[in-house]
Amino acid sequence: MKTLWFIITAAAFLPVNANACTVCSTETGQQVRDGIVGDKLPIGVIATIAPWAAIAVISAAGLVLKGEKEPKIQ
Amino acid sequence: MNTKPLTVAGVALGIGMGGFADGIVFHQLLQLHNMLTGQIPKTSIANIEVNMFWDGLFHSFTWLTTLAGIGLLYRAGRKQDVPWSGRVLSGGMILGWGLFNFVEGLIDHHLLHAHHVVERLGVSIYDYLFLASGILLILVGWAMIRSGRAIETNKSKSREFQHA
Repeated sequence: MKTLWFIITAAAFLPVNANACTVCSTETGQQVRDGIVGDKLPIGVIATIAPWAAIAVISAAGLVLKGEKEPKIQ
Repeated sequence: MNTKPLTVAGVALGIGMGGFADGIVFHQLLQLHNMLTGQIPKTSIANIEVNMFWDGLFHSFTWLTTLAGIGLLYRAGRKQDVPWSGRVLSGGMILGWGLFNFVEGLIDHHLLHAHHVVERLGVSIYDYLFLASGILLILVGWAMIRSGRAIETNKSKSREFQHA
């Protein structure tokens, strides 16, 4: 389960890198480089990633804290 | 009997699909807000493009989370000791949706002010209703998971009794 959460988290960050290249080649990317909207980009990163990171942490903590309490059939 | 794999799969699916519901309904169909309209209002083509880019990134996350949920559901389905309970699965999905609404609402609407449910109003009653919907869905989902577990445990005990 821990490995799976690691994969989910790692995979979640892939689009950030992939789209960073795409946006730089567009007209918007040019404006970002010119500083028109560049100062607003960090909040985009935080706004997109932070909720998912928080959910992943809450879920992982819930799994770890709760543990296995199900009755087992012999 | 082990309901945890099904619960986890349901929660992952609920988080992903809750995100899709938000993006499709609020961002695209109703166009009440986009990912960064609290910081970058849709007053120019460039601003609309930036918002569209971050909407795309947001939907990438929801897609990946849903994909993870499908993978987890597949794994759960292959385990012999996992009961195929619709109540546990749908409870997990509802809980996941609530978790998405609460965490996303808290961080993006209230802490970062990246966007608000109805952007032209800023922080409004709709943002608090969004948070409340998250809490309500978490509680309903949690109750469904618990009752699903209880039903499956009783079924399992009943089968044991019949075999004995």
